[in-house]
Amino acid sequence: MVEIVFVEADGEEITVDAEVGEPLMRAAKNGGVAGVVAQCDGSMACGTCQVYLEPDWYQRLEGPSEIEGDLIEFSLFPRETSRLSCQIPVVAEMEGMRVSVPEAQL
Amino acid sequence: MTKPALEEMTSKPLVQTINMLTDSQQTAIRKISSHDNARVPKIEATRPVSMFTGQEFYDLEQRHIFRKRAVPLTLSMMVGEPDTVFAHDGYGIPLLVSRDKKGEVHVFLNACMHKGAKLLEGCDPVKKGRITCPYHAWTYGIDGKLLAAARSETFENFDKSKHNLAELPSREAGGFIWAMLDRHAEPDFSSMDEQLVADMAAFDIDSAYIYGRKTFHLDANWKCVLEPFLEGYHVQRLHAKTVGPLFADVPNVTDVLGVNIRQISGKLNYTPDCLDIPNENIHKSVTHAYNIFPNGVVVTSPYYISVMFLMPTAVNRTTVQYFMLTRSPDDNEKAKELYKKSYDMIVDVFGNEDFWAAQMSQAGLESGALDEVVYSGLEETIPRYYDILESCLPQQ
Repeated sequence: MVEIVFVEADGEEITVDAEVGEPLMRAAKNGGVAGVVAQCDGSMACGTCQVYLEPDWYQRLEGPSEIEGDLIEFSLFPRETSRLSCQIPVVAEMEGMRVSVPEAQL
Repeated sequence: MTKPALEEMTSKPLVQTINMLTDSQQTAIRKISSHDNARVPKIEATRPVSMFTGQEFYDLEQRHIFRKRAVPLTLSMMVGEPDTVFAHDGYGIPLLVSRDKKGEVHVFLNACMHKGAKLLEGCDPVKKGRITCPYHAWTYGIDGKLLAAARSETFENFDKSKHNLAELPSREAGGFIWAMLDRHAEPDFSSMDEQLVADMAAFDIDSAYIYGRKTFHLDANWKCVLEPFLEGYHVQRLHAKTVGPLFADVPNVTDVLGVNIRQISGKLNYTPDCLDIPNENIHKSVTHAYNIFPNGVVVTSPYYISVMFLMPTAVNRTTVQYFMLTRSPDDNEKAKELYKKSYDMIVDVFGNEDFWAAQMSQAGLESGALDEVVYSGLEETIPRYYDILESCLPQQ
C-alpha cells in the first residue's frame, strides 16, 4: 500500500492507502475524499476528478492527452499542475505524495 | 458577482436624469403635453376574437413570427459573468443559455447529442465551465463543444467534432439576448432595431442588477397578456386600488422603432416644467413602456425597471418571466426596504391585476359572447401593434 495525502479545498488532510496500479481517483473515492466527484467513474468523460499535483510530480508524469487537457481547460478552477486523477495510476514512489483538491468540480 | 461587475453597477448614478437618455427618448418626452392639453383621439378599430382563441391564428403566429424571426429570449445579466449557464424552458422548448470563458453568449437546445437527455434542469444561473450529461456522462464545454464521451472507444468511427451541442443563432445587444427558436430557419434579427437597442442601453439594462424574478403560468393567449402594456385605458380602472391614482387618464406619446413600440407618458405629477428641474429623477414623472417585438415588455418606474417575456406555449397558455431590475444591488438598509416594497407591490399589481384580467378576458372570449374586440382612443397603440404583427403574417 502507498500512503497518499489529499488536501481538500478547506484544508482538511485525508491520508488514504492506495494500491499500486489503481487510479489515483479510485484511492481518493475509497478514502472518502469528498472533493473528488468522478461522475463518469473513471472513463475520462466528465473532468470531475480534477486534482492539483505538486510541480515535481506533475513533471515526472507523462502529460495529459488532448481530451484530458480539454476537460481541465473548460473547468472553472484549472491550474498549471491540474490532472484528472482517473488518468494517474498509483506507483510505489508516490508514498507520501500530497495532492490538492479544487474548491469545486465545475 | 465579480468585483468589476459590482463596481460597474455601483459606480452608476443611482437616479437617471433626462439628459442620460437618448436624444430620441428626450425628444419624445418633450412631446408629452400637459394633462390639461392632452387630446384623446376617437378611433374605430376592432379585431376578431379568433386572434385570441383560434388555433389557426396561433399556428400562423408560431410559424411566421416566433419560429421565423429572432425573439427576445432573456436578459444579458442572467449570464452576467463568463462561465455561467442556465436552462430556459419558457417557450416550451428546452434551451440552454450560456456565456463562455471568452464572454460570448450562446443559446443551445438543451439536449445531449447522444440520446437527447436534458443536460441541465432548473432555471437558476449556475457557474460552470462544462456540463456533463447525467445519463451517460458526455461532457460539453459551455461553448457547446463536446469535450469527451464516456468509453468513446466503443463507438466505431466516432468523430467527436460532429456531436457538439445544437446551437441556435443568437445576438446580444442593449442588455437583451435575442435568439432564433428554429435552428433551421434563415436567421432574421431585423426586429433588433438600433434605436430600441440604444434606448435599452440608456437605461443601463446591460449592467442592471436583477433584484427579483418570477415565473407566471397563465391561462390566456399571449396577446391578452400583452394588451394591458399597450394601453393606459385600464390603469385608472383595473388598478384603482393600487397604482391607478399615480397615473393620468391621457394618451401616450407613441413611436414605432422598426417593429418595436415605445410609449412614453407623464404620470399624474407630470408637468412640462418638471423636465427642467436640475438633477431630477426622470422616472418619477415619466413612464416608458416598450414592446420588444413581438412579446417583450419593458416598463420603467422611479427606482426600478420591469422586464417581461410573454412566451406562448399554447393558444390559451402563456408563460411570463418577470424581472425587476435595479441600478444597484440592495446593499444598504434603505435600498433593501425600497426594493422589497417595490417588488412585492409590482408582482401583486401585475400578477393579481393585469395577469388576472388577461385570464378573465380569455375565459370570456372563449365563451363565444363576442365576435370582435373593439378598441378605444386610449387603446390606439393596440391596433397599431396588431398592424405590425399582421404585416409579418401571410396576407389573408
